[in-house]
Amino acid sequence: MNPLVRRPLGNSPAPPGPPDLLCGNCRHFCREPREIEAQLPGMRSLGSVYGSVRASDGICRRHDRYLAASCSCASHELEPRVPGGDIPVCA
Amino acid sequence: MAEVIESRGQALQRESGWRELIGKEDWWAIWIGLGLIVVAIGLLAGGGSIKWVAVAPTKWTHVSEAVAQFSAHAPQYLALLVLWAVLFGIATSALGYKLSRFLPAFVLVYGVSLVLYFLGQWDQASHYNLEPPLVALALGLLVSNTVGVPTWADAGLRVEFYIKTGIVLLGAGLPLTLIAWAGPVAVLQAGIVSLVTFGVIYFVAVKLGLDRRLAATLGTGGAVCGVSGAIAVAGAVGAKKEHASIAIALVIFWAIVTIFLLPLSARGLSLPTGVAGAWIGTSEFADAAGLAAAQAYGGYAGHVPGITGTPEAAVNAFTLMKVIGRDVWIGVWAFVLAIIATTRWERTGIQSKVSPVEIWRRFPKFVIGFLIASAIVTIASRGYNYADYKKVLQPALVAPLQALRTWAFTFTFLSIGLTTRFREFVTVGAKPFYAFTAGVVVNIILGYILSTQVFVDFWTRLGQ
Repeated sequence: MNPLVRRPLGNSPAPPGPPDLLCGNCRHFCREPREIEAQLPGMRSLGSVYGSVRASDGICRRHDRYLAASCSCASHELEPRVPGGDIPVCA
Repeated sequence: MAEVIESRGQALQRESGWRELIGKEDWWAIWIGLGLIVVAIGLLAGGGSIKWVAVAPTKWTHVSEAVAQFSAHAPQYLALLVLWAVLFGIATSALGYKLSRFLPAFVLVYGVSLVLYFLGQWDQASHYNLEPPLVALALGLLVSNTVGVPTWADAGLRVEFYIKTGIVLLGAGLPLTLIAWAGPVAVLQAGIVSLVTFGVIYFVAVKLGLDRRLAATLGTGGAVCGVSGAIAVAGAVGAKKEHASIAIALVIFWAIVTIFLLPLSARGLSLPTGVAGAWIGTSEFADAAGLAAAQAYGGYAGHVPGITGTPEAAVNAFTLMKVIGRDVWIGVWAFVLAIIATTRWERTGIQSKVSPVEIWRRFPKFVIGFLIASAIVTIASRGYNYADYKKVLQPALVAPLQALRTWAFTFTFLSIGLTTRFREFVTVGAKPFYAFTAGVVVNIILGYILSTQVFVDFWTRLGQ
């Protein structure tokens, strides 16, 4: 990896949490497209929640932030398993 | 518990892996666009053509002619409706919409688009400034902001899905050699404008005391790819939800203004279509909005005195500038800004995992479809001399695909207006407005100078 990239990566303020305790698995994290669409007015007009550029970003209801599913924080709470589903959904 | 956690980790990986192939509209745009192109080429090889179903109105003078034209081709228009409804219906079902909700909404979109397409073929349309993209947009805006749009119609208003499908089909009309020839200049011009515009918005925003994450979200929205750029960077830097909403509102406001402003300004300056397309591609904020402006301007060619170049040149120059010059860099912007946010900006209590893989994850995949479409048709047209190309390939393959593309764009332009409801926007505040507007002004001026002075010969040649 380029040293210019490696250096800031190495200086990250804190390493991300364990792989399975990421925002994407947290009960505070909303990744359901239509819910995101509803919470970001205008999103449908010249953008889309179904586009590749969104990756798997969602809304953290605890911190009120729009962030990547790969983030983590101290407030993580595992999403209760949804019967018949394997991906956490909005509360 | 461990088993539960493990299965969720795997589920997340699956979702961001192969599942994306049916879970993201970029890939569906590729499947639909390339599927139509492959079928069209297959039919051509078998001595047929896709042109029967790729029906489009032709020029008319009196309403009676338009009615007669429609009556004569009614079965084809019905078949085309069925084709689009099946293709988009399968895709939207995979994205999570109920087919029973999508179909009636799409029939409405198709019906209104049909009227607008016919209107655009009136031989006096240009005289009265009734360019279909602008009429579709204005009509949509008027309806959605006055009487309103019924909620059942929402499922059919998929702006980005339609525009991405149209752009993949557009690739069929652009030879790969042309993309290779014009791409580097587009990247250079767009790169200059993107960096300067981002710098202006970010600098002004920070000077006004705004949060750096908001400044970066606004900057990318103005400099790279409108709403898509704004949300990509908002997610990468972990912006407040409210900040993403502010950026979206500002992008849409200025994108709508420039849809009308740029073509009218270019018309006043009598710019050649290729040059105007490059300017619009440099200075518009969103693909859908820019294509509306570029297609409207292309419609002036041959109808408005003093405007030279072909209608296609405006759309081609726009696409090269916007898609190749700006869109493909979204992931890079998100990656770089995520590193800066993680290492330089104030802590938020949230740890981000910054990885170069992010560049691929956020890459607008429909661009791949656009390039493959170009490659397929370039290969298919090998062995045809110019005369045969005009006589065989143009009417049986290229023109029908252009018609399908125009349909997809018309769905887009109508959907933009019908989904832009200004009363739903958040209050943005004066400071974000000033910062973003400063970038808009610099962007438009710099885009004009680069398109009409620095690279004018290049973009003029593209139009010839």
